[in-house]
Amino acid sequence: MRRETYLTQWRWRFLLPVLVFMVAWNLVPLLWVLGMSFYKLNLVSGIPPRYLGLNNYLSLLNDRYFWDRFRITFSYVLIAVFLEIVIGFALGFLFDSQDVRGKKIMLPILFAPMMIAPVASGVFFRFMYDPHWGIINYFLRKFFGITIQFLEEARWAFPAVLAVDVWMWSPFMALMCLAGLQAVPTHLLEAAEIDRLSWWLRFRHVVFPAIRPVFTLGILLRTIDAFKTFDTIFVMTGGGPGNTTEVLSMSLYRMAFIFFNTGKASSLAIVMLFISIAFTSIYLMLIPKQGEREV
Amino acid sequence: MRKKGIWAVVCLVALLVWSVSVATAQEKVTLRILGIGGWYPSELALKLAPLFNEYAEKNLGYSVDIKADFAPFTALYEKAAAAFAAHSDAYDIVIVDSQWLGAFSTGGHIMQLNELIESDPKLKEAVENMYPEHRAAYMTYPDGSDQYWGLPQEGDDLVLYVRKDLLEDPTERANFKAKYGFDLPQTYEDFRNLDWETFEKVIEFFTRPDQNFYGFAAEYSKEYDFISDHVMSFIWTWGGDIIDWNTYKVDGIMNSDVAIEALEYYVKLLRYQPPGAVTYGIDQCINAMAQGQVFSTLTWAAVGKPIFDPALSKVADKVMVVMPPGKRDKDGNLRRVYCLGGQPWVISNYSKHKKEAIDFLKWWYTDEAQWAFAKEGGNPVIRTIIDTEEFKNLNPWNRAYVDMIPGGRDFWHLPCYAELLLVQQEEWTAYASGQIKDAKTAMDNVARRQEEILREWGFLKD
Repeated sequence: MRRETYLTQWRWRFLLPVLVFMVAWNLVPLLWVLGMSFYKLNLVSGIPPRYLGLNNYLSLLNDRYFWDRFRITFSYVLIAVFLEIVIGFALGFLFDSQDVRGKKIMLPILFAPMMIAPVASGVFFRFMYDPHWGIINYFLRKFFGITIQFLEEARWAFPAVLAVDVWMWSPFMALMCLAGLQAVPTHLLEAAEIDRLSWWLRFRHVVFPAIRPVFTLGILLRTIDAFKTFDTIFVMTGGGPGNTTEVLSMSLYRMAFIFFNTGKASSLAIVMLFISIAFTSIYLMLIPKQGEREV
Repeated sequence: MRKKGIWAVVCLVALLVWSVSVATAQEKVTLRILGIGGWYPSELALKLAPLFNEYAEKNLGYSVDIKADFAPFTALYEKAAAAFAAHSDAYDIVIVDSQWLGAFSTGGHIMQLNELIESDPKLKEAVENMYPEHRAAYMTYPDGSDQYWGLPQEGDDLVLYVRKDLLEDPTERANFKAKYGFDLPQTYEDFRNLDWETFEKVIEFFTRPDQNFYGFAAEYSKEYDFISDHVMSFIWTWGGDIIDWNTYKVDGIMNSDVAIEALEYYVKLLRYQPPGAVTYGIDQCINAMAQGQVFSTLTWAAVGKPIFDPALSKVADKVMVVMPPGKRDKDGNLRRVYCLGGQPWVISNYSKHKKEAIDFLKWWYTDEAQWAFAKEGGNPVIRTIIDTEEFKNLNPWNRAYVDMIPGGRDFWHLPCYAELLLVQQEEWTAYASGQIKDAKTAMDNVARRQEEILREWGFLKD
């Protein structure tokens, strides 16, 4: 009994620094932002804060430009993550195959895009897309005799920034896929081989259940990350032309640090936080319970 | 005994060194200026700082160390506003854009200068010696009042850079006359009387995509205020306006027929510009001109220097700077109302060196400092200097800079300036890039959204 009390005391002492850190850096700012979201507050104007209740949220939800950015952001997330899953898993299965030679050289090259700073990737692609001297337009001119204004024309800007995200993060999904495939029990694969299961049945009943947790985690991480994409789009298009690439994180930045409309920006930040929490909850629902993992 | 004597001497020397260092430290003042990165006139303020040090040592009895911090236009407001919001003394003087005067003055972040100007005869004389357009743009908030918050660091306006060599080329002149039936404009005076209808023919003539050469380059970028400067200039030149300056009503003004026509015309000019011009900002315009890719560009007088620098420009000796075209009304009169550029500097209310900051600004408006600024390529504002032929002939853009001041206009100086601006930037670039199909929709959107902002801030009363 005395030993248990002693251990409990020490457990709390060890946890204390982390708890203090969590409260100081996560909980307090979060509550602070939540509080500010109920006020009309502009940090530069010098006007004292005025309590508005839920008005900041209501004005946000009644703003059709907010919904427009919401649509752009969701389209961005859905299309980018879907393409990254498809390409990433194709690459993952390819590199898991015993038939591929030179894996040790090719894998680091494959993972290089996600190791580059997003701002650098954005600038790099801005140059590549340039209608005058960008390499993509060079080849388009050479082979098809056309020039596409990727970042300048409204119809091209969105797919152009989306392509950069897919280029950067498909390797991440490939990595997740490879990690999942390592976890597939060899004896089950051998049993499937003996039973002469088709490729699809083997994938459905043996491979997929094993990789499902990693697969779901990969989707969650990419979804949250794509949802808060800012840097690549900021350096490539600044949200333009017009607002074709204006995602929510960019609106948040403008609201908070260009307009210093701190109250309304806080309400948008809280809305975005709840959307991220919703993603996480969906993930927690989808992730298999311990018992379900047993095949 | 001997040891004690040595110790006494050591202590005496240490005391002497300490007292000298303290005395020196007390006399040396560090002034911190926040300026615009990559913007030549801002950088000149730092370049000329040693002259102020000489002046201060000689006339004011202290020496100054001026340190500067820079942020590009797009990040400057964020940096300045964050420092002000935190009541930081990080900067004594901030070079701001004129449109920010309302936000910073109503927030109590910057010093009101009326008393200072009234109490100092030399500064008062300098202020009276400026164009009223400059006082209104760089010093005043609320608009139309006599409350001064800033002083002009540099003046600036939109001017037109054109290829003089092509205009003088006999073959080009003959071909142009054969095609259009009149002569190419050639002199500064020809351009003074030029309207957009005529100039459009000139840029159409020089648009030769097969040679990767185009007639014109202007700003259409969503970044900062790039497209707004130009569209607003066209609206004013076409005879329209952006707001009712008394009631803050926007609907019916911003989306008036004449304003819509001006926007349509400005976007139509893209057909004479290089591919990708819809994202051009200042740098791209200067670059297109300096690299010989365009016949003309409509951009700021303050940034013309690289075009005339042989190390940076392929056309350094082939360019002349003229007044941009005007719009001819039904009576044949030419209207030319373009946006003023330039920036004021303001003194931070949180500065610990206000006296020295004031001394610095007073010095800036002395003839010596203004001439030094002009000789380095800056645009001073004192009329006894800029109205002289000596100044007008000093740099290639000076004459057009001075001639464009009368009638020049500025943005609103309201505290909600950034929000009003973003609406224009979004809607106008959406129209220019094809996201919005017609100019009327873009203008209706601007009017509606700006009225919502003005109502929320309490300026527009229904």
